[in-house]
Amino acid sequence: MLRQTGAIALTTILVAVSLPKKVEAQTVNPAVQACFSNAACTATVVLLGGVYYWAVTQSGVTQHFPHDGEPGHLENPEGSTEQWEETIWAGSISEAISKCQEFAQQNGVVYVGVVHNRGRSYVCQVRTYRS
Amino acid sequence: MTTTHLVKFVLVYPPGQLPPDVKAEDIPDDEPIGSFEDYIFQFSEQPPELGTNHHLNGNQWTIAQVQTYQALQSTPGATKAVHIAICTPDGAVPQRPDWSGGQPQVLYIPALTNGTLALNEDGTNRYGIAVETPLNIPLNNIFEDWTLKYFQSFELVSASAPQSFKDVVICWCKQEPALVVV
Repeated sequence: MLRQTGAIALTTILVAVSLPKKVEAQTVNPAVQACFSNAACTATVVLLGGVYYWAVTQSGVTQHFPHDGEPGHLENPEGSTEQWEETIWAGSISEAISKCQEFAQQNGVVYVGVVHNRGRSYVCQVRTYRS
Repeated sequence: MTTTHLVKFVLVYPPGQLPPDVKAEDIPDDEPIGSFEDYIFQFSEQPPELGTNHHLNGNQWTIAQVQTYQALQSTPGATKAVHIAICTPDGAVPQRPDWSGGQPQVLYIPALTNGTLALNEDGTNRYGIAVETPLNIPLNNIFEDWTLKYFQSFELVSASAPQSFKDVVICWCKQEPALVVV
């Protein structure tokens, strides 16, 4: 499975942006880490009062945890292509593709594809630049 | 084990019906409940036949549609064709939307050179769908969790239908001893 290993920083975050997960993230709160492996849980980075937090949502309940520094750039200023992954929950492959394409569009990145990795869980793969 | 035909059974649940592994409470609150599908890949000696019944995932299914992809001579291998068998409980052809945005998609399936299909940790089949073919990945390199040995590519020879693929690719891989979990 393709995995992103480099450090990145986001160029544009306004209020709340859903980010691809860093597979090799820096120290992350255990609750956030647990969310990464739970298809029914979503973890996003939000900006609240000028401070970045992880927003972990499960069963309709959202909890916030401190985020270490600013999120990474999805657009690498050096122009290289970076591939990222986001786990998504879908009832069918067409729904997974649709969600992945929507995710790519919302975050200004390019849809690459989806990989089935277990049950109803799919890995959405996106990258920063067309190559 | 024969690898002459690879069949992808697409189990299309009627709208509103949940698969056996899904409970209503498992569905995230912000998710609308749409149609579910399950996917099961099997190698077979024979191609699938329309109207035949199969017991899969604890239910009886009837093949309502078959899409066939034939192997390209430029990528030789043991598998002659890949078939997408669309199944419903009553054998009626289901309404399936085409790919979002009309973007052509490539189906790729990792298989092991010992003639078995690559599996996820939960025992489900590993497969991917992408806009670009994986054929440009160098041989003997790491591909997902395995070492890529060779490809077989397949093109559609039956009538196109919603969710047809631009290409189907079997990525024949070897599981290196160091990666074998005992």
